[in-house]
Amino acid sequence: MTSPFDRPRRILVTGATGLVGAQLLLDLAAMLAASGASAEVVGTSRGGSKDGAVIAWDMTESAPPALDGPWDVIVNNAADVRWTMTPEEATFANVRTLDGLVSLAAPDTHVIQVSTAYATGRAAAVASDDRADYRNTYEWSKAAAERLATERFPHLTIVRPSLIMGRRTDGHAERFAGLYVLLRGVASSTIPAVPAARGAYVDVIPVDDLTRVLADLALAPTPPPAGEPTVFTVACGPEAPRVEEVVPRMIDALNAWRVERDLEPFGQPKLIEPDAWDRFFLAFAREHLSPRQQRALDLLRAYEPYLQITEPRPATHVVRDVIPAVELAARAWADRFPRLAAMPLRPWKARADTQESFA
Amino acid sequence: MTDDPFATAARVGNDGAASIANRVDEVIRSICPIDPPPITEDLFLIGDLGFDSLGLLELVSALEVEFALEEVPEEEALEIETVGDLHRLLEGSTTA
Repeated sequence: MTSPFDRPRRILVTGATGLVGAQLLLDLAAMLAASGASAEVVGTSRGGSKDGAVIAWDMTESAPPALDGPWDVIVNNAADVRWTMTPEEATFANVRTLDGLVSLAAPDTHVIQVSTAYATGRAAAVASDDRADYRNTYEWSKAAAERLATERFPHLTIVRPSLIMGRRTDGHAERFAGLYVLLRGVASSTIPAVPAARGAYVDVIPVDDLTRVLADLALAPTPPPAGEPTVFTVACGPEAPRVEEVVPRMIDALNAWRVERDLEPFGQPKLIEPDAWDRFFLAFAREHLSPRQQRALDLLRAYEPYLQITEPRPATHVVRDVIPAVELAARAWADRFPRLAAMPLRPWKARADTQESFA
Repeated sequence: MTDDPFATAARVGNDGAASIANRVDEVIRSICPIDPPPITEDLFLIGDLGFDSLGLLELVSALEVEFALEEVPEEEALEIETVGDLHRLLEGSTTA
């Protein structure tokens, strides 16, 4: 097969040791090999990789000579995805890093900014700089990054994925964030209950469903026209599973892993309506639970908004049938962290058995 | 580094600070959210080793299981920032 490009194109992937970036490098390599096209694909991350294949670069500092531009395509995956960052941390990690890309881009470089489906916050737009319009500083900073990228890069595509878990094929993930907190919390007996709205959508996609979209964009023969960015949202949208299905299936998958090792299964965490959570459960918790259990509940507050979304995400690329991938992701997490997955049951000192539950 | 985090704890001895530190480091490695660098006492658990606040709770819970301890007092758990802090905490808890 002949190369679809006039010359080997240069593709830079930031955040290349992260969940999305690492998978994207694999997908690009596979697609290039299959097509016979030639391209220089270089990955960077803040710490680089131990084998040197991914170049270390703190994007708030000058790029090393190995990254000299111009690049035909830059896929910016670099991000700190914690939902608990201070505004300063979020700005530094998710907005200031764009500055580092300016010197590497030519006027016709196609920049693909990986954002989040939740960057539109509560106001369904990224225009606001008011933190109150977003669920957390992560969303707020990703909206700011979209605005800045729009100013800086004329040929811009913004890709907004929903929550991301491991690969559809085998559950593998380079990093475990977002919904994995439920597995972690159940395994370490720090989550007795989950505040979730009845029927809430849990819009979670396998990472390889996202990276195929990114790879197609990166390998497109021409950049998008200059002007307003093209925005893609990769999400389940109306096909998203509901919280009543996702949480039990994740824990069932974890428990299947445990039973195979003669370990007692964990109980399912109670799903408690937000109103009952605030009015009854927290009051109960403050009175009866240990300081650590209470601290875990405080930390979990960052995750609450994502289990209370009862309107589907609008999606341009609809991802379907994710429950099997969620189960594989849970097993892959257990394989990666057997010590946590095999933790003994440590009963709560007081459980929420009498609280409202729709599990 | 072993592939079996449970085997290591059994292999290392139960006496001496070095042994305790080794066991602590093995627990850290086994649940570290990133591919960890060589574990040294000055490394920050959040920042250098990729733990988040919830991850620190998990780490303390895992150490309680590893060393068969009752729940570490919250005020002591909140003081933990570095690998060295964990070494000192566990050395104190297991020799008290």
